[in-house]
Amino acid sequence: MAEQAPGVRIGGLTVVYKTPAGELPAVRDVSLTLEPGSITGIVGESGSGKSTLALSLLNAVQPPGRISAGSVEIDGLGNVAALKGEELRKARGRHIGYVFQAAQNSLNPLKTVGKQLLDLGRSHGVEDLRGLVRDAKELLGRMGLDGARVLDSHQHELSGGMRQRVGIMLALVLNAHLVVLDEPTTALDMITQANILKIVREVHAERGLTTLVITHDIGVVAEVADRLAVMYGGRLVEQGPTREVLGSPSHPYTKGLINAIPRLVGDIDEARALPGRPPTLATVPKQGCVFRERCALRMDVCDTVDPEAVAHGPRIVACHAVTVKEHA
Amino acid sequence: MSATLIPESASAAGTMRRNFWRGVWRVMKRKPSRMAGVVIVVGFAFMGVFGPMFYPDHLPGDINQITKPPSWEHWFGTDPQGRDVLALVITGSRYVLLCAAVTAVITVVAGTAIGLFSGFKRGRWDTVLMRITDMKLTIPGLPLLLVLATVWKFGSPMQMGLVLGLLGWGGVARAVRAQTLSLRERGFIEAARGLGLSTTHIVSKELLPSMAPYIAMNMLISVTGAVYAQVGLFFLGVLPYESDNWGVMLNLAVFQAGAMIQPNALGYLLAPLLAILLLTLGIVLVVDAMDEIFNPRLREE
Repeated sequence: MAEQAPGVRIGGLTVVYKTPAGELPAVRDVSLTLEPGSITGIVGESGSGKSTLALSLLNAVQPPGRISAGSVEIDGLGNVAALKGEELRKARGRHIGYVFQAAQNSLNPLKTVGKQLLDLGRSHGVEDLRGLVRDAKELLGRMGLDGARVLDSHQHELSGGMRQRVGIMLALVLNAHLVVLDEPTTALDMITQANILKIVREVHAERGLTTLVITHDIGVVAEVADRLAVMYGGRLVEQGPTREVLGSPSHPYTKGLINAIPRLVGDIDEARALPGRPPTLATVPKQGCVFRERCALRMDVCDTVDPEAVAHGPRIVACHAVTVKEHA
Repeated sequence: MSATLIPESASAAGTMRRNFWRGVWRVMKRKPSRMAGVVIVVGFAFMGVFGPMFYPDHLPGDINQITKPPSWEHWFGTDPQGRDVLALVITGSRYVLLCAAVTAVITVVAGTAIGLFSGFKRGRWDTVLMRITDMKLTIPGLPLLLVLATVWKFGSPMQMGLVLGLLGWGGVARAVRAQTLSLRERGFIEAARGLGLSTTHIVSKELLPSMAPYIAMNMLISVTGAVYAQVGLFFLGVLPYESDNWGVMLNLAVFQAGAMIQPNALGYLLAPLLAILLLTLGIVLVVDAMDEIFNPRLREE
């Protein structure tokens, strides 16, 4: 394969949704780089813009949403945000594999998995359909499923975990080297979760992929990701190597998130929930820091000035308090 | 796992197609009533296409056999001109069935196309098309037909079918649009888009089959509606008796042969009614099978 693990550079991406109250940003001025061959995790609360960010990698934000500014540069594809029509359609599936949120529901209930696989192949002009079926069987086999049986099954004949794996297979079978997993383990039990994550890691290493995992489960990210990005209210508040971010979080939101996780040992009360509630599209502050309402380190400047994302070594943090501390 | 791979004998696509027909056969076999339905519908189609060929253009009347009750010679009796009622039903079927078929095709094609387009595209075109549909839905069918009957003779079933079809697509369009709106938000449509399947494929191969039983159901309603409407018009006598058909028969049975008061003419009245009943029954049974053919979940043993 000529194409190997593409790098992705998201620059100043803003995605707005049209509402009666005007166009509100779900993702605001996000810059993120996915190194070739890395696994990046994005965590955040529900409604923090994770999925919207992931969809914009496909330029698949549905109306009333639209990408209003910024670019998504993918090696070998160019700026996806500017792609249109056929070109965009061809890029999806072939270059970018996408495993959807609730992949359990992403199979057509009326068709066997094999039929859907063939549809996918034909849509992308695959000549060797038999080879495609063989690849699919092999991938399914890698994930511990009986390929022939799964391809001959309808969606309702498979369990949730199996469907999830089928979703991953469909995302990978056309040899996409950039894979986006949107909540790959939501609604699965712990064992299946662990299995899926193992598969993600293995397939990632085997095929040389660049992977983006979207989740609200920090455990998942800790398990698979090399780099971690934390989203809040449509902003990326902190990003850096997973170990560092989890080990010594610097943004007050990341700290709060990690403090909220109950430990296996010790008093359960040590886990402290973040006070307040996450902003919705309508309540996100127009100016100043998005997190200030819930922040322990709030300063005057937070009310008026949106903190810049500043690099501190391998880490990028968007917080006035942290910047002040670092420079003091 | 990969060691268990069996080399495929036939192309995968071929296997799928065979499975489909085998599935159809199994669905049919499950309930004998469905077989009956298919037999009835095929029988009526045969009757409409070939039936009139067995009879002369003008059925011979036997003046010694006027308005006779059912007998071995004349299964449903004879009419006031001494013609065999069964022969009248058969020769009259072509007009009724052809008109119903034309209505069904127009209703389903126009309704589905407009509904799908509106529901899938949304936005401005949706608004325009749906307002047109709303306007169309407000046109009262029967009064319009009565008015049209003063201008047109509806001598040809095509003409009749066309008018009924153009009157009937509104409901289907609305229903299909609603169904499309709900389906397009489903996970598998989103996933198909995300995996780069073309819009044509998504609409024709993902959306449409999900709605097939629904559309079939609507087709049933429009076919029976068309049959009732035209038979009704002829029965009311607002249309000239340009041709032989079931509606004309009913009209003559009641108003000429006096079926309401004369037991001898009962066969004349019942024969077309029975034909309509059988046709409706056949279509209902076929639609029942259709539901299961398109929904693999119902197909489980």
